[in-house]
Amino acid sequence: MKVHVWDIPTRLFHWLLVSAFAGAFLSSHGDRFLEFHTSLGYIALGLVVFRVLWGFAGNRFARFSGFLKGWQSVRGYVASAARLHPPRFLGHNPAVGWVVLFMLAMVASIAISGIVTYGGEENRGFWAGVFSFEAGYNARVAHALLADLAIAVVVAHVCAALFHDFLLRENIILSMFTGTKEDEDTYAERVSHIPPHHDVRSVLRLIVWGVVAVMGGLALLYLRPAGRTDFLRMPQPNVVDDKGFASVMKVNAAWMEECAGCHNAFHPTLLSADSWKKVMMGLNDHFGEIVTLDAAVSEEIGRFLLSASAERSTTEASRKLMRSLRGLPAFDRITDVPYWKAKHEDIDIEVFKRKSVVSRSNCVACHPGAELGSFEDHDIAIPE
Amino acid sequence: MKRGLSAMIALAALFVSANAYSALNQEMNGLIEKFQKEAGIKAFSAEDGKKFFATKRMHSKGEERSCSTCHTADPRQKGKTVVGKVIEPMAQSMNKERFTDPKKVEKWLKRNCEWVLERECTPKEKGDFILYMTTI
Repeated sequence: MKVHVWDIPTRLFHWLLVSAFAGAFLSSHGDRFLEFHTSLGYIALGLVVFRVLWGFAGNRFARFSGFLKGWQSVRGYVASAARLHPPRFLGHNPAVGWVVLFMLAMVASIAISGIVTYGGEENRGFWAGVFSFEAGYNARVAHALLADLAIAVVVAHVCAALFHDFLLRENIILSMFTGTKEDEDTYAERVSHIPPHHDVRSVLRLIVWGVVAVMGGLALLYLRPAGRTDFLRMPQPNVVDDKGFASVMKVNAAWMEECAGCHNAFHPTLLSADSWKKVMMGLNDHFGEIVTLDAAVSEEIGRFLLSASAERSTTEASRKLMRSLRGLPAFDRITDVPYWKAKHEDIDIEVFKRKSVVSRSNCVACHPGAELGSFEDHDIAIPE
Repeated sequence: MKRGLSAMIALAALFVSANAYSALNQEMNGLIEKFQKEAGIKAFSAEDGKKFFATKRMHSKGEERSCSTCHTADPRQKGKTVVGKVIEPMAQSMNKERFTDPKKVEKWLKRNCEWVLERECTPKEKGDFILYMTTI
């Protein structure tokens, strides 16, 4: 007799979470797959939320009340499992019940710390403009630690499943596909007929799944994230105001109109306050050009540039360029800043001379988000 | 007879010029009238504007400059400043926002006349230029 144990939502949840987790893991290195990686994080978080709700609404094997048992039964189960003779449970056993809850909390923590990282470091995603670069950096440390923990838990989980299948011969992996398990009598009957050395098919099945998993992982490695970020929906970065509060930078119309009339709208977060003062004081000889501005407009632009200068900005670029400026006099040319130079030193001089680029100061040629203060690695596209 | 003919030509010229600027809004027409008064002429010439746009001049910095240096030879095309910033087309037929704000027009004429000619443009040059840009 087969018993219906895992309902369809529970099984779908399980395998979708496996896919999302595996995909996120495979795309976790470097910025190249960042958008793909973050999408999978949102999906995983959504799945966890669903599973929590299903823990109250699902069938008796899916409900938390069905598998979260007291300390006594957990200890008893673990003790017998350690002797390799645990009692058989149709649903989750008392030990794994708490592991399920732990894994849900763990995946949620990974996703949330990831969203904080994405918001703080890249100024993207659900919490863009809420967290500073430092908060994002700290969240990334937690994100990586939690992810390592998750890998360990997954390995333990898979080993436990193999233990149930190959030593106890329960076929629980298959049950996560079919949803059904043998009742106690059928199980006992079948197991009594199997000679210990005869279960070649189970081994073959394990090999086939292993190959499928490896092929799937390799396929993911060669999948490139398609499409670029929608820059219109991207908010301006955070700046710290006079009172020390972080707020989203407000774009100044005069800055856009006057400065961006002749060159890129160089974002205020790209130079220190000293540098901007130097620029605004030297408009009579602005890199060889004479700039005439109304006194009021000039003052307005100056105020705007200082309100969001690199010291006040929470972006990665600002923090790193400020670090590179330590002890040096103010630069008025962004491309003279040591951080800029270090970042661009590998780029062939011919690239800057291309018709599509023209000059070093044409940031938007390669950084489509430049005028919004965004210079993320995975957005860079050097034109031919 | 001769007087009648010249009167007719003058009337036709007025009609043409009035027609030529029909795309401009009221504020811009005010600017054109100002240029006309300053230049002491009744009508501007798109043909002269075209020539003015293409005229190359040796700048004291030792490079040849003209309007088309940045705006390309065809004002209906997008241009590019010397540092690579893309400029939307100048021709009003390609860019409805061009020549709608007299303050902005005067500001840019001042800046760019200085850049190309190292002097302010004459009222006739400005009027011809705007006529060319709004009729091409």
